Amino acid sequence: MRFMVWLPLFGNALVAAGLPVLARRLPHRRGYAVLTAVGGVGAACWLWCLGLLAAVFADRIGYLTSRGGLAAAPAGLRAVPVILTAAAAAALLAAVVRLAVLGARHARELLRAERLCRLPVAGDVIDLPDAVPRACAVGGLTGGRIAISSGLRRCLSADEQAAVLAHERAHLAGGHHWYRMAAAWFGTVCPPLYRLPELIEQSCERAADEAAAAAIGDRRTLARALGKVALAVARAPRPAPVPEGGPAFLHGGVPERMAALLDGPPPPARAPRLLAAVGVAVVAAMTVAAVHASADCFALLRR
Amino acid sequence: MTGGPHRREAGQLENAVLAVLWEAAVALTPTQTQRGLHDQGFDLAYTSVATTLTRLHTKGLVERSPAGRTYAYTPSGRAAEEAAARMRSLLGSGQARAVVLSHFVDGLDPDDEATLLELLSRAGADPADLSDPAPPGSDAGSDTA
Repeated sequence: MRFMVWLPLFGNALVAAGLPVLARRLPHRRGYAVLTAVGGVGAACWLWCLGLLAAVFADRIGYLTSRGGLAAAPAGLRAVPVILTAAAAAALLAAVVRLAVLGARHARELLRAERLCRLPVAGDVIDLPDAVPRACAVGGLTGGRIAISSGLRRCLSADEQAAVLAHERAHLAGGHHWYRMAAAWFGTVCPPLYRLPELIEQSCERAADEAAAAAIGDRRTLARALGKVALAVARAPRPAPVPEGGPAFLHGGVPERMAALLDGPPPPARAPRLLAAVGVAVVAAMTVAAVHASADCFALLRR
Repeated sequence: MTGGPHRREAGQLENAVLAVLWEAAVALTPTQTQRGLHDQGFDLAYTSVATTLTRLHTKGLVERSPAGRTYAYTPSGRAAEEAAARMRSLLGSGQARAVVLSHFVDGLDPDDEATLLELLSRAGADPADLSDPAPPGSDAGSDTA
């Protein structure tokens, strides 16, 4: 208990450091799913261990009223400094509150997206009369829609538009918004994983790029469409309003995505063995430590 | 949006009728619409279909033209406009970006522009397309670059 309960918490720092490396090296096709899964284990271990510490804290507080005060608690409970357990309890409370707020927001967005998806409009493409060149996929509960602005149609040729549509359809087919949603939860629950949403988003964009390139059989057209849109957005007289707090604007990522498309199809990528082994080992160690700590903790609390 | 149970049922029927009209390349009479609905698993009386079409027309969601003793209906642009309006509100909603949206391009670091131009020329873009930063329709005389 004394050490084991901290392992998963520190393990998350390790996971956080390893995620960008993992994101770069994973095969693009399912990379985002693996990243999300690792983030999920990390966030679950984090929450669980905070919960254990909070339980110890609650138990220890119970001794306040006893004759000996806090010092009367059994040695097992006193193995963890009370201040740390209090901090853990506070962190747990904060995480749960933040998660609830985020979950409510996501639920609202999903409902609005679902209503949009159910509108009786022909096909899956919505034309936006909007000079800002933009295209996006809207994932709802049961389906999705794609929105394309007139500004985007104006600056792209017909086959480039088809490439954009293929890219957005790949997002919908892959259900990428679910992964991004999960990543947002994990990043919210577990502060060390705050970069996870951004990584998942980049990974999803790459996956959609590759899927679209395979679907239309032409990598250069998609690369050209990407470049033209990015350039048009950058040069727009009134840039699209950038929402506060969105990390996406900072990384951009367009040049990297274009370069990846122009450099030909990636080799049938397999995650390097060493990386995979290290990743699995860290995740397994965190899980085992969490389980071990809970066994200790339950034994302690049952007395 | 108001929405009672009654309204929702009517809305479903209207959506189904609109979907049939959208699928069709030509204007449809109520009888043809009824047949189209039947193909999609909706068995409805002629009068229900005709009533729904009239209601949609009153809402401005379909347009009609005389065809013999009845009307032939085509969807108007109104539904598409509503979709665009909802999309716009999703795009502009709240402080942070909506998680349900995947943007094609999120923006460009200003330092990346040179890299981008070089990549674009590698991608075979016509340089004439890229040299003009002014979008069509803007005042050509105000070029300060």
